Amino acid sequence: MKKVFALITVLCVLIPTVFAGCGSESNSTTNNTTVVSSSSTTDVVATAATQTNKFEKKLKIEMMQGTWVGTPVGGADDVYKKWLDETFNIDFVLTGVPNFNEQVMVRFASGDAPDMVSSYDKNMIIKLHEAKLTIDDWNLYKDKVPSVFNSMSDAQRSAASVAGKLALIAPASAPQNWSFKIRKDWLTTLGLQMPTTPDELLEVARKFAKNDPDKNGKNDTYAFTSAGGKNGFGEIDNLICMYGPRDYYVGTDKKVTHPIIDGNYEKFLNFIKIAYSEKLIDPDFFTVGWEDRKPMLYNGKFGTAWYPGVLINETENATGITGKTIDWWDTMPMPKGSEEGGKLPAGGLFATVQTVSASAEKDQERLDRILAVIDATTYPNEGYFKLRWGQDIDGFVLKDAGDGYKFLNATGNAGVNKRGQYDGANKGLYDYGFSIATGADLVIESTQDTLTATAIRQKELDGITMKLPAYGQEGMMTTLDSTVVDQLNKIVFEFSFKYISGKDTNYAAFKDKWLKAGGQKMLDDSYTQLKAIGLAQ
Amino acid sequence: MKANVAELLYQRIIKLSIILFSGMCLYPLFYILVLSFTKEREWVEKNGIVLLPADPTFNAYITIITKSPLFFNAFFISVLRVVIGSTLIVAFTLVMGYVTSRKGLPGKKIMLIMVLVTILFPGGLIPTYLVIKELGLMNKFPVYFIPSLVDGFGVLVFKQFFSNIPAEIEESAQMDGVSEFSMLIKIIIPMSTAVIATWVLFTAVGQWNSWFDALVYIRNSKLMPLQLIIYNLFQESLGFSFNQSILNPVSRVSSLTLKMATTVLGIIPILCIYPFLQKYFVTGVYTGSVKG
Repeated sequence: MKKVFALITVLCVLIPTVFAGCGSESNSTTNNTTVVSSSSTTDVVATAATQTNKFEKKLKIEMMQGTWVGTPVGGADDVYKKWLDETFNIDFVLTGVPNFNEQVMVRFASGDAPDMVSSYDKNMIIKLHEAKLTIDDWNLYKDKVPSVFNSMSDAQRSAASVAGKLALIAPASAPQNWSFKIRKDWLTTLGLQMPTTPDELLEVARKFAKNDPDKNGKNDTYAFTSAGGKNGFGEIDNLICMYGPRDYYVGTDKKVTHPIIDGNYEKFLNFIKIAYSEKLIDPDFFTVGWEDRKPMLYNGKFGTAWYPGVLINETENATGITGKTIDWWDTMPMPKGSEEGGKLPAGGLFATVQTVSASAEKDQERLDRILAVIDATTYPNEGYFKLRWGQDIDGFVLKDAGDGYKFLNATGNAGVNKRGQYDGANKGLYDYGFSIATGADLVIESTQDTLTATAIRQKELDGITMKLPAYGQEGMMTTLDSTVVDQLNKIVFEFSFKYISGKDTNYAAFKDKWLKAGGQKMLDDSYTQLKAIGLAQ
Repeated sequence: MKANVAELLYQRIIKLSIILFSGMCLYPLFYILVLSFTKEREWVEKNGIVLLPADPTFNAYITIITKSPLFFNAFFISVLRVVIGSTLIVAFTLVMGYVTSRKGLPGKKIMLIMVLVTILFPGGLIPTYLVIKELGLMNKFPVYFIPSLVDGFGVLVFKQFFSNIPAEIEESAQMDGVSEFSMLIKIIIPMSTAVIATWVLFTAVGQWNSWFDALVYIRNSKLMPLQLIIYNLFQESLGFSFNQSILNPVSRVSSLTLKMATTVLGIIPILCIYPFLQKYFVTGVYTGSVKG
């Protein structure tokens, strides 16, 4: 029995030890047996050979980023990694994590920082920069990443700067293609005109909600929808722009102000209060999430929606590509509720941002390799289209769609494309485009090899939106204390819902509370920062 | 008579409440199951509320089973960590519980305090990460069970259970010349099947459901468990900004049915284990909790 005891004890100790040895440090991404299905394999390999001569030593480079898809990459299908590895003589590891902020903090705090990081969250990257964990000033590398500096706008550079140092880099900001879409067919059915003022919009909304615009005999339509996701009013907030800018902005007196201060937020709340009390807006708008709202949206239950032109594509796909929904939507110019109102909100400055860790910066050879990768894959360089759209390396073909637009059949085909939107495609490969993607490339994703009516309509709607007047981007060019911003948002959410439901009508008290809770500090900080770049006086 | 009517009414209200509560608990599971068989078009047409699919489809399951090597690899890893992890964790925890239940063991109090400290004061994410890294466990399969080989709470449960076994049984065994190890194997363990089965179930469910350790410590896709794959599937379109949503391919192409089918396939194995071990549950948890 003692022998049995000894044997079991030894096994208990040995088994974990043996398994510890079985694991592999290397990522599965080191699998280099991939067969490139692209017709231009030869070109890629030739380019790779030239590049490899420049980069003699093979380096392992890790990019940690948020994700679109999140399923692991690096298997036999990963022609994107193969292209990066061969072109830059690296072993590229893409670590996509859904909870980026938490993960990246752990990695940096543990001294195990990834070489490159990319996220939706600019504030997170700024925090890393402030802690001196990332490149201190990207301006020093202007010559090494000229494409990045050419593509970033002045507004982006201002917004990405801390104390005169460029803390991060980002893809080119896309033209503003978000606007309110309105049901064109409902306007026609009910004999209505496109609304141009808040009052006209309310009248149209009443008809949309009460006059059975879809003629199904049921009172089941709403004029407005929003996806508040329990965090606020959601995108319906953009209706503030009927009266003026929706964020901190520089007024005509060159001082910084905010819609809560100038009274435009109160006008907006009064508008929403009417819509809410008359049941013109989906009653779930405060709680429903973006994805959860889609069935009713695609099913044609809402009269307006804040969306880019891709809404046409989404609705068609979700309803079986019948062609019946292509003419549902039209772009609604922002109704004008005041002299300075009636413009679209400023287009976003950043879709994603990225930077390089301070530890990678210290290693010159490593840094040079990383900067080469970044510059080569920045729009509009060839590498961008390879990595973002799989052109050449994954069998995708970008075709001219006129007016500067391009289109491709994003559905993909088994046996031709490794990634795509067909069953069994490795959708995780989309994540290679996460850090570089920009809407400025004007690529339309089609479901067929020819330009479909859906894609043409999407292009039309986006084209109209891009020509509409928009407010300035100064509200996005400041870096404010995120903790205070969060606190202020909570105060605004709480009051707004009470106000529209009639439980609290004291707007003056709310404004006072907002100022005291940090609003005044945010105004002062915005003023200081905007004054420093010459936008405020 | 009146008392009987009141009692009957009371019983019926209780039963109704239980049925309603059970329905509330089961509905999310039922919804996931139904959606895994529902075509997206029907989901849209019914505004996202589907009780029974009018035209059920098995496409999602066929896709996962025939075209997704990632799923099977992750499933295999999950099964492996349940089998190896649960076995080793229960074995080590049981032995520690047995040792600390022995009377007169020198340093017993210190050992118990050390165990208790791990329950009251978890190491924290970053220190734990550093320990894992220094142990060379990063990106290796044993990271799933080595850090939790001795479970503090489990040790206390086992210790308490073993302490309640009548001393006379052990004394008579000792008089017959039984060694400590034989005592554990031949006497204590056979008398403790309830608590062991319960702890096996707790550990197995914990191992099956774990994804956070893989998220933090594993970068090799071939070592990722199924729950991490499911977690990623459901996280994919959350948290993006408006600018990103237009660029995000997933926000434009719903794969809801596929997600639900993956979830169903992820739930089934652990549901199958439950009925076999459930009978030990109550006995196992409560035995040993009352001393006297």
